[in-house]
Amino acid sequence: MCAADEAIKGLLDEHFPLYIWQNIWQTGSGTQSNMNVNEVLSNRAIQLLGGKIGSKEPVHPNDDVNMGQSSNDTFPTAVHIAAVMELEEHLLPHAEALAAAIEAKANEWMDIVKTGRTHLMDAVPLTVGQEWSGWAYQLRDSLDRLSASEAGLFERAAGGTAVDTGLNAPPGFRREIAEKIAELTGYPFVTAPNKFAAQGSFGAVVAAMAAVRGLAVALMKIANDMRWSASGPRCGLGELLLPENGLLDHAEQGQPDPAGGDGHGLHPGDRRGQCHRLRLQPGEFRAQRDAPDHHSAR
Amino acid sequence: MIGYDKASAIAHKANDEDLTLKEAALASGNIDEKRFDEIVDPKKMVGHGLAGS
Repeated sequence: MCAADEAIKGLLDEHFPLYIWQNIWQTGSGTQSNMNVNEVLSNRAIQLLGGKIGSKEPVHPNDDVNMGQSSNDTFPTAVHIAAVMELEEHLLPHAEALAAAIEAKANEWMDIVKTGRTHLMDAVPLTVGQEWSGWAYQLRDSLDRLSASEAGLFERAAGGTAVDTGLNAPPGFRREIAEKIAELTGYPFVTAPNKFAAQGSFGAVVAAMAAVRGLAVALMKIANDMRWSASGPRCGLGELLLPENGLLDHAEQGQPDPAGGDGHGLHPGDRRGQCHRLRLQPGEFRAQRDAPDHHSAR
Repeated sequence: MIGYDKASAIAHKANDEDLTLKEAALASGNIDEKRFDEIVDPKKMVGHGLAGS
């Protein structure tokens, strides 16, 4: 346990040379990283107990550290825990804050009339607040779908062991480890009702990524509309004046650099790229672009 | 408990010498026939349907 605490604190980081997603010395199930943990914990425990490193005595990496686990159940479990924590502690609160800020601006500017645009051409009027309320709602909508996708992530595979039958795990292990992880993380993790599905596929993760992609599309739409609205300062639309943020363009004196919007646009593109490279470029302002061929494969 | 290392040596021996797992396990002297037959029974090893072992 002392050895595990040291590893969690990062004191043993130099002993984990395997990089999970980009290393060729790794199976798709993460066996090498799993054994890396078992070996490091066993050797550190041996060291703490005054034994000889590599002797497997008195703490054996398989029999005493790994015990009733398999990378086939621990990795999906770890991915689910990491995904829930990232969503709950980073993505959801930050996106909520953005939605709230946009809502506040929508209310503030509800009566300011502007030109509507479809296909970048002048169209009938609407208010700035109406437009911004749409962005806020898009975000809220995406966040609802993201929260709904968490239900699948709360179901964990641990306890299924190598082929999902639970062979070699002690009786009750799958339920007890789910309860313990729920207690340690504060999130309602439960043991998956069917380990054969939970270990055999990443369905819940795929669903969560689809929801993340939905949010990315909303962010991209908002970022692009904001950039168009703020284009200029002299020869563009010039509807929005971006605050000066110190990121003045070095080549063009005095031009506020729309780095916020650009970064905003790039990041969702990155997320979308990781999700099967689907073509979901939203249109500008009030009209969808590409609507007829949204589903065409590239 | 026979443990990972001995179980692994038995599996390797069986593979290398074209023996059954039972032959290799008994030859290792780590387990007797009665105990081997109790443990290595595929019907027991698959657990209880969806409930696991």
